[in-house]
This record gives sequence, structure tokens and C-alpha cells, in this order.
Amino acid sequence: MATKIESWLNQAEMKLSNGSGVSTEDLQTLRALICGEQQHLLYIWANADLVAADVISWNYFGPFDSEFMFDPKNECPYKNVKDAMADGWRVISFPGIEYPLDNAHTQLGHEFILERFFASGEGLDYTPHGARK
Amino acid sequence: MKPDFKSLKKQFMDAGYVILEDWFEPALVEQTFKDGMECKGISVFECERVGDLLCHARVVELVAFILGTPDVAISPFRFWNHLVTGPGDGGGWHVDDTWMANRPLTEILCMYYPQDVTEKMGPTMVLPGSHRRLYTPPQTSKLGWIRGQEKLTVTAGTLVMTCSSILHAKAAHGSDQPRSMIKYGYEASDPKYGYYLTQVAYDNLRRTNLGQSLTKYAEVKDKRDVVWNSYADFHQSYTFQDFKHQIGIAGRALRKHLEHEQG
Repeated sequence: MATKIESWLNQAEMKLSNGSGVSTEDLQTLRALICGEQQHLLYIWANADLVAADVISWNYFGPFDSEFMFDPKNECPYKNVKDAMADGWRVISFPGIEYPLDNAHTQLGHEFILERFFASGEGLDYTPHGARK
Repeated sequence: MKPDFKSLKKQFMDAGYVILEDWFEPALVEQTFKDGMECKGISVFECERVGDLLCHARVVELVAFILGTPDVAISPFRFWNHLVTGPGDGGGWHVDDTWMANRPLTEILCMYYPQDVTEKMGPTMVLPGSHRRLYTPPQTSKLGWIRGQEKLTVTAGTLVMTCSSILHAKAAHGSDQPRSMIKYGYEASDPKYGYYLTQVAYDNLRRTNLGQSLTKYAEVKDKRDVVWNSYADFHQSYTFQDFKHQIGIAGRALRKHLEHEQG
């Protein structure tokens, strides 16, 4: 997914290659894009404590709204944490060790929390609960 | 033809719930629909036909078979008519009674739908097999889409029997049609877990011999004390409020203890 910053970088590369160069105004635009970046959080519960393990459950949080706060209907856009990492997400929390209590599991899957910074208005197109707004 | 109780018990144990369709007489379904639309919260249990629903002989027979005891009691476990008019948002994943998955099965949670529930009417969602895990509310509230999740779209008069520890939620209600879900339960009868009913509900449920047997440990209290989470009134601290998630046997044992301490 191309973000506004990636688009800016692509344009800057083109300008440098055709000799027109990057202007002060271009750099101000870049600064505004960086300053306006917002943290988004992607929760993935995987079926094993491995980044390549399949997604069991997911949720998506950030400074945005969703069609519904709760109406889980959309599957995760990534097959696993590894695919999300390849798309630019960074893992910021790894699954804790589970100590089953009285032979019963105490969690659903293995919880990875990932972050990615987006310019205001950008991000994944949808949450589990509908379109991102 | 008598339902195959063994097969139903297997479904219940494997998936954590079983769906019973066409178990009730049309007149009962029709009247519970009217009651479900008019009587919110615990007041619905003061309605005669809802009393008949809870004291339905064949259902109680199945409950006894699943619990493995002939001595069954109506449980006040989350007694409530969840009447939503829509449209509106859904509610997050949760279990009604935490820390029950590793205990012997002693209680059954029932969700009765007096009207059809379509995909757009905020159907109950369940995660089959999730009753075998021990979740805490902070864990479950973060969950979104879950592989294997099911939406219970049902016809009027359907009863869903579930384990009290099953992970469930309410999907978003996208229509303007009202939807009632009458929640109640049964448990293996035990005097140390007595519970409370309003006088009207108590009299309503004790109209028959079966009803008297099902309520033999019930006590009459006023409406506020009867509400399932009223024991949270004993203390306002957060740590105590956290116990509101233990509203089945564990919660009631706690309340009984506290009443004894205060008494």
C-alpha cells in the first residue's frame, strides 16, 4: 500500500533523476506529512507463537472510526504476522508465555501487537467491523 | 418423535451450545413474543407464559440429562430480557461467567428468541468450542473477527442452550425491527447457592409441581436485589466490581458470604 510519504519519496526520486531537484517547499511538505503521522495498532492472534502462523483473530485500532464499533465480519487482510510485517507493520508486543490453569487454556491464540504510522486519513481500508472512516 | 438427548448432549459438550428449534407450542411462542416486546429486563419473568417457558417439561428433562442429575433448579443466572429496538451497534466478545471452564458442569445458560432473528437484527454470535477456555474480560474485549465464529440466525421460538463459559457477543443491529432475547438458566440444585426472585415471579414460577421443584431454594426479595449483578452494590471498589463477571455459582457464593458477613 502506497502511503503519502511513499508517494512523496517516489516523486522526489523522479525529480532528482530528471535534474529538477527537491525544493524547500517539497521538504516542508514532507515535514508536514511526518508530523501528521498517527499510530495505528493491529492486533493479530495467531495459532502458534510464530510470525508465519495463521491468523485466528484480529482487530484494528487507531485514531479513526469504523462502520460499527462491534460487528465482526471482515477477515484479516493478512494471512499471518509475517505478511503484515512485509507490508510495513512493526511488531511491538510478542505473545506472552501461557501457563494453562488446571489444564485449561487461558488465552485464545498467541497475541501479537503491531504498529504502523500513517498520515491522517490513511490506513487499512477496513476494520473487522466495517469500513474505516 | 422424542429428540435424541445423547446426540444433543454431545453437540452441547463439543460446541458449547445446542440450538433447539420447534420445541415449543405455537401459543407459547406467540404469547412470549408479546411479553418479550412489552416487558424489559427481569419483569418478563413475571409473565405467565414466560413462566411456562422456564418450566417446560421436555426442556427441563434435557437439562437434567446434560447436567447428569435429576435435581435441577432454575438459575437466576443473568435473568434478563435483552430487548433492543435497533438500529444500533453490537457488543463485544465476552463470557457471562468467567473461571467456569475448568469446573464440573453445573449450570446451563439459555437464550430464548421469541421472534425470528435475521442477519440484520443483531444476532447473537458464538465461538464454537470456546467454552473450554478460561478468559478474562480484558482479553475478550479486544477480540474482533475470530475464525470459526457463528451468527445465530434463528426462527421464532428457538432456544439456544449454552455453557456459561462460552465466548459470545451481539452483532450490530442494522434494522429497525425490535429483537428480544430472554436469558435465563438452570443449574444442578444446591441449597448453598440459593437465589432471589420478585414475589410475582416467584408465584408465577411455582404454579406447577415442576415449577415448585425448580424453585425450591429461591427466596423472595425486592426488584433491585433480584437483578443479577446487584451484589456489586456491596462495594464500589474496582477490584470488587470485577467480580460482577462472576455471576453464576461463584458470584452467588460470594454474595451469600458477604450477606453473612454483613448480617
